[in-house]
Amino acid sequence: MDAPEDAGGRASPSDARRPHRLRRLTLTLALALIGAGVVATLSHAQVRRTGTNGVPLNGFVGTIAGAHTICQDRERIPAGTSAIRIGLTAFSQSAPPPPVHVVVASGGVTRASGSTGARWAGPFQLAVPLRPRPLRELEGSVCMRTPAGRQQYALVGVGAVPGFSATADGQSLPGRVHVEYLAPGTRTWWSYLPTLGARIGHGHAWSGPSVALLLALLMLTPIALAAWQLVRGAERR
Amino acid sequence: MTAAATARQHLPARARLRTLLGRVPRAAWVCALVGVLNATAWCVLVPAFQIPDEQSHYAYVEYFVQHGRPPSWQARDTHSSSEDTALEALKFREIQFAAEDGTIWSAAEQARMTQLLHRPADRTNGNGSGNEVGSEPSLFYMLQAIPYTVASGGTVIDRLQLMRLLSALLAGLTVLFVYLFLREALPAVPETWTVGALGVAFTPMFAFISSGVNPDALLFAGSAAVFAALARAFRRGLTQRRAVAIGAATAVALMAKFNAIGLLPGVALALLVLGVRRERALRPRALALPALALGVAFAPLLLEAALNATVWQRAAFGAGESNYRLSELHPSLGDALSYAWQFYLVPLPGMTHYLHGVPFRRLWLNGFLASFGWLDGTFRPAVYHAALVPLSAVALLAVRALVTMRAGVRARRIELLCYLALALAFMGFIASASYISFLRYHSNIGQIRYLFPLLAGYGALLALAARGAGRRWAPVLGTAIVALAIAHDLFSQLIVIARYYN
Repeated sequence: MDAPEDAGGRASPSDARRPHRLRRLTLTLALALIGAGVVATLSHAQVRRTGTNGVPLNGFVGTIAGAHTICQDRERIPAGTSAIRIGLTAFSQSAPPPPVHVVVASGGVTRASGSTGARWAGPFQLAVPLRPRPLRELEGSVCMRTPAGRQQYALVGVGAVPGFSATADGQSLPGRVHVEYLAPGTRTWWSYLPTLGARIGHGHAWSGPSVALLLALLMLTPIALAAWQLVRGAERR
Repeated sequence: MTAAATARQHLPARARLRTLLGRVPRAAWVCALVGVLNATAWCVLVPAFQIPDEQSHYAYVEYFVQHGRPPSWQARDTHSSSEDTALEALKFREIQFAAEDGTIWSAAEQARMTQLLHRPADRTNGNGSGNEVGSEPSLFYMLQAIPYTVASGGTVIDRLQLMRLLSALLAGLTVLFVYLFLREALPAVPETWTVGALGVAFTPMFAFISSGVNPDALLFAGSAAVFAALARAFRRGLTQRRAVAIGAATAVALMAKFNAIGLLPGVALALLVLGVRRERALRPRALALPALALGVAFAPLLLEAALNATVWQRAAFGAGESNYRLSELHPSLGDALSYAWQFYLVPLPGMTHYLHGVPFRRLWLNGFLASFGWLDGTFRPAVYHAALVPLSAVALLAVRALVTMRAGVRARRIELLCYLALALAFMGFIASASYISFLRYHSNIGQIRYLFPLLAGYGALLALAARGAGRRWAPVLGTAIVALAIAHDLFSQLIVIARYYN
């Protein structure tokens, strides 16, 4: 464990090159596998969000049964939003998605609405398509009319003070409801890269696409450097 | 003393430092650079204040710069208006612990953030997060005061970004010391030193924590230096200079974070062994160099205690006021031992259950694999199951390497027992701190980062695993281990991108 094991013997040139070749071969294979994994991951298509209202899915903020209108002011609805995901769940696990009617209004005018095609999106969210797609970011309210009937639903979000909380038929609820805004269809990460690059460019000490480019460079440079060091091998320490 | 050593002693300090640095192999510098660059990638990737407790550590630095002294313990935390505004601008409270919410996404949000960040706000009216971190030692915060001051004319996130870069440099130091530890601890297998050091550099949770404003970054570097200095003394004998090096490394760790107290029993034991080995008997002279090392280790802490008591109006030893305080609690040794066992492993039949599930898996293995942001950036459950295969393989290969090298292991068993004692005592300390927290707040503080002061041991595990299938396959295994670490790091970065920007 103390002295280098190869100190005593003298290896032939081909023996001496063997570890070097093995290391290079293994590294090439491993990096190819990692590259394939990254390509497969980035090719995965899924629904993308245009924004959220920043309300976490922390817990139930109210229960409703029957026809009610739930409204929430001070929402920012991003441009290009084609569907909305609302923090809502049914007490019965087998309950079908309720035929709610959603209205997005800004400046007292209805800008988008949706009442067909609602579906459960995970255990605590209901997705509802909206039409038309807003062409610019809107500031306004999101209202949801629930259907008549006995089925009970819970609104999911976080506790909030009256005035900022959601309302049910004009009465304040104990919290604010989680809302996500969705882009149309599904998109792979590849097609989503420009949006992702723009988002990574926000919220930093400087902004713009250079942040995402720098990040990509910083993610790849250590890998290249480590690969170089590994291939360079143990013989040059 | 050799002629070379005598000649070295007569060199000017700068030339001696250059000689010392010149003796560090180029591979070690390359590994350190990989550590710095990878941590810098994480700096840019993770949104501001999304690294655990970063807002509190930033507040400490701000208080230190604005008031010229560290904060003291307070019943509750207050941030300055400047930091509070920045936290609001960055949607900190909305996205903390909320995996479903992203960060600044739209141009409108960016414009609002910029406007808020440029609004004049008081930087002096906070209490430095006195409750959360006010009783911690000050070295890390003093260092971070430099980038804070350099970027003083910018916004909060300008300052934070520069401070994060300093932490990334500390990540490089940690990797460098892990390499140096492996060089001394495993001299017979030089091809594995790079494997262990690169494996640490690409450990995503290490890079993630070290990329933030968090004293853990300095604690990791100080602890790795302790391991490297001890390994050098075990291999080459304890000298006055090496005793000072061990003491200095321990001092840095102790001045970085109180958790380093957990290293002290192991360091003291190792020093005792080294002293006795030097004198070939347990006699008073054998304690001289260990005493010197411990003196160097404690000197800065005692100096800070004196400043705390006389100038800074803080408790002399902050730990007495922090989460470690035992006042109003009634701990019992039996319960503490039961808790410590469960903290790392699994409750045995008949034990009172303090933690749910299997902590070994949930806290430590899963936490090691991915627990980013405010513990809300994670892989899908299947990834955690699949990762058990390579993790088990690495552990088995390391054990096999030790069995293969058993003659060498036997010859150095005392040294290995010292490292083991150091690790176990440290783990015991972390479990005790969590037990106290459990008694006081009914919450556990188990996070993998608390064990990262033992990263040098993890590097050794990887290095040994590379030799686990024999010398012939070492190049393949070593490269595969580093490639696995790279894949782990890269896919971790992708899940963080998905967490915050998708």
